[in-house]
Amino acid sequence: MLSVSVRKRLNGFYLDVRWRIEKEVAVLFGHSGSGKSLTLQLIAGLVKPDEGTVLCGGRTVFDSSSNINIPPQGRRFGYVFQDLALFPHMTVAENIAYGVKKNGNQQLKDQVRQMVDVFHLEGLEARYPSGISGGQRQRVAFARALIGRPDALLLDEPFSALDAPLRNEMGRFLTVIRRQFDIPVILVTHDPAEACLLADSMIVYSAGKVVRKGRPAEIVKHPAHPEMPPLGSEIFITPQS
Amino acid sequence: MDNSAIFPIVLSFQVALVVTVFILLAGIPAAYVLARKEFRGKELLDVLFTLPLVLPPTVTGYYLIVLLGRNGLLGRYIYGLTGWTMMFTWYAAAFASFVVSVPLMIRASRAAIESVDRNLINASYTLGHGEFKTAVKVILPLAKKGIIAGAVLSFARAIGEFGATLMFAGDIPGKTETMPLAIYGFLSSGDWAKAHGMVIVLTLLSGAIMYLANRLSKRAF
Repeated sequence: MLSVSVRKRLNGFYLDVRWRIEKEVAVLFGHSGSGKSLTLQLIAGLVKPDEGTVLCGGRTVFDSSSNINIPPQGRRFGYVFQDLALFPHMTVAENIAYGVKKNGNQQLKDQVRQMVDVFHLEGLEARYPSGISGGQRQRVAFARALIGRPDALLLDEPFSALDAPLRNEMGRFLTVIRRQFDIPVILVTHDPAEACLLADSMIVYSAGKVVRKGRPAEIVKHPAHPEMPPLGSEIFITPQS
Repeated sequence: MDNSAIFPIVLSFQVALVVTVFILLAGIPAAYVLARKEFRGKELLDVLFTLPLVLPPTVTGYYLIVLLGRNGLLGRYIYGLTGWTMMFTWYAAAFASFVVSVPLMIRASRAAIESVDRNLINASYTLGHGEFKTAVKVILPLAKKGIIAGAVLSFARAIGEFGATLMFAGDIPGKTETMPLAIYGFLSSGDWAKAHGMVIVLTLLSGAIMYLANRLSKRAF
């Protein structure tokens, strides 16, 4: 369970959102500038909310009323950045291993090998991020975010740089992640096709507020809000995998 | 070359190497703090660190005498306690070179640290690592190029230091006479041949160091 209730004023923008998700893939959907990425930063502790609470699995990581503010390194959230933020000076294996706090032993090597298997990165361990493809970089970022067994996974439009076939592949990976790790996953996107394909539930943002919550099918069928695109565009034909 | 020419070459290298070590030790933490921390008086501190770069070396040397000379603000206590004064020793030459060249290190390293991608730093935090490990494993390796460039510039500046060294360490042959001082000394005594030789040595060495450093920083990330 991940429960978020935060307010933040930043450069003339006001974010005021409250939502809660279970162990599912929830999509934060909305135009750019509606506060989706900021919400992830507030959850991860990279930006401090003005007030509110962030709870994950019964653990309070932020609570302004009782002055709890665990720093990002203590929050145990996996975070995949929009530009992936792979360390350019580390190999694939080193990037993945960096996701474990204590390292340098045999157990870590086994963990890295396991993640390499899960994300089909065999043979790339000694390469640098600049020497692998976009889809491979993506998978390294996921492996790095998940190796430490986080309490939740935060995805900030990690698929936006990929073309459609690769995106479908990532959708399948998300299914694997859910099965293997069984944690709440938040996916930020402004792509309705991606939202429909990947989400169990959908939270629609507009101008720093939550305007709708629900199953993606319902929301798409009854848009009733300008944030949703008109129906009938070919992007919705993509079958559920 | 006789001893009067060998000694300045050896001393200049000794000074420049020692200074570079201390510049790395002091300059990297100073640059890190200036680049990553917000505190009151930060820009004032930056001005203080940069002043030796813009002041004439004679002025910097003057301050060093006022501060660390035998009767200086700090120097008198050091002399009172130990009977020793830094002035007119090779330590003085090294310290003067340090003060004059450390701003180059701080400025180059600060710019390099500031330009490290914010997301990479945040990624390190979200992966469970605190500030120290993030600095050592992510920020400094990614700022390596700028840090190396800063160290090289400092080394070059230190090996060519003249004004502050002359003021604070004096020009004592066989004791504090570095290459630039020796060149000046040879010239004033009309010994053109020796001055000529040493100018060539200094020019070639400085050029070689810059070339090597450029190669080195191109190979680094």
